[in-house]
Amino acid sequence: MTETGANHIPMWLLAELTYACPLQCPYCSNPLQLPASRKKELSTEQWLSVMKQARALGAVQLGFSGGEPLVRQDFQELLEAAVGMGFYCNLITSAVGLTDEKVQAFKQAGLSHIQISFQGSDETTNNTFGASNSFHHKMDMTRSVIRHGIPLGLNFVLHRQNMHQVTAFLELALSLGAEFVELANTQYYAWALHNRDQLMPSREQLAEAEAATNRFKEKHGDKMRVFFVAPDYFHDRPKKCSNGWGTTFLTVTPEGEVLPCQSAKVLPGLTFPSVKDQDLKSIWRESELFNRFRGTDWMQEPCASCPEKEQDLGGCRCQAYLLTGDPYATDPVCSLSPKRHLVDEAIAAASQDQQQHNIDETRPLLFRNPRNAKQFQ
Amino acid sequence: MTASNDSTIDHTIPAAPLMMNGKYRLQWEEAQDCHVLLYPEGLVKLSDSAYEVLSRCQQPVTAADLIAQLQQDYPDAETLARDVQEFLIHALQHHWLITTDQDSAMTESQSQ
Repeated sequence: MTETGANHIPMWLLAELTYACPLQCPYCSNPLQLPASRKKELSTEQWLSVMKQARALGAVQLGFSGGEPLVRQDFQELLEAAVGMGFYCNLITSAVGLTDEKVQAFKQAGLSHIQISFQGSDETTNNTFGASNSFHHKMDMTRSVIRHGIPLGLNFVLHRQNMHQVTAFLELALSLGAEFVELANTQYYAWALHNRDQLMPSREQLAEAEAATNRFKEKHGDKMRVFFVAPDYFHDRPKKCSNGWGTTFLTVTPEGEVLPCQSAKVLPGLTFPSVKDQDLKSIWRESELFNRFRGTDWMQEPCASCPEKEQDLGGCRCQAYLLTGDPYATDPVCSLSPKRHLVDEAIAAASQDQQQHNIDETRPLLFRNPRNAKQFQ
Repeated sequence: MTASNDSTIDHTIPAAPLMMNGKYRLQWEEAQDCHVLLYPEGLVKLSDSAYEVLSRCQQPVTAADLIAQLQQDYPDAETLARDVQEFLIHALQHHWLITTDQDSAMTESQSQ
């Protein structure tokens, strides 16, 4: 079926306000090519225009993300404007840069939801993987958000080196009074893909973490809602790219490029339209980028004749490209992909590693920071 | 009429008053030409009847009273009581609605 942008509404706007971040997580989903400076970031006025245009197209969920969105000095102004436009506003933050006063001001402005990320269940682990002395501040800010009554979710990013902490993290979240926790396994794009060999859990480790999560849920019932999100690699069918390429999500990068998903810039042979040159409506509906992988016309075999093609739309284009070199290929997570062995080999390598809780000094993690990003320019 | 409804309310629906979860927001969306239910990082498009039910749960109301009110306003809807109950079960399972009864209350009203 040929699809056009007019059939779809971008209900979700992800506003990546800046790539600047006080943390250096080695599984960051931001591009490997980080800009050297913030000079080309959209101005306040440009973001206001983006939000207004997105709202007119029907966007209603707004995620303020980054980098660390609180690095932007105009965050409060952007939030107030977004609330005034009728967006349901989500702040996705490390909590670094947050203060009790800001939480109160965000509550007054009408912020609907805050997600705070943790990198470990204790000070050492959290501060090691975030490369930031942030653990106690995150706990203080979690309490502050709860005290001010803003709906809160805690996000714990899992990988081989902290996965054994699932129970400890859930106990911590419960003691802080969190209502919602996402145990989000690292997905292998960008920095996480670069560091995959050091981050990927074994099947056994993943199964144990999931079992620990279920034991916790049985013990504590509905008191805290917990979602465990397994890595794609461990499934045998891929998931739709962003709920379907160009159907639901609109990502605007710090410098104004408009993408169907956060990582689409890795795809070769595409041009990336910018809000600096073009209006959002024409980008969403008519741009070559957004129409390239809409629907199923672009597919090759085995997707093209697959009876399940409408269910996953061939999976993730970025994953297909990153693992096979062909953005039109079946997502190799799919067991029907002729390249599934690439995923199985990565899992097998992880399972063979006997030192899964330790950092292998011969293959150090590459932390995400401007200095390390230089090698990818 | 209310009395007969009481006896037919599905046993999985609490007898205590129900109300909208404070995290969820009802909103008319012009582009989608429908009401939506917004919640952290998600949304659900609502049918007219789903909106009709949820909009009456902004204040605490028991399932029995809610059904009686709706039957009064829509006397021709024959399967209304059953349809509303099915929807309420769904809405409770998804935490769109919470019960105001402390014993079975969801955590939303219990933050520290």
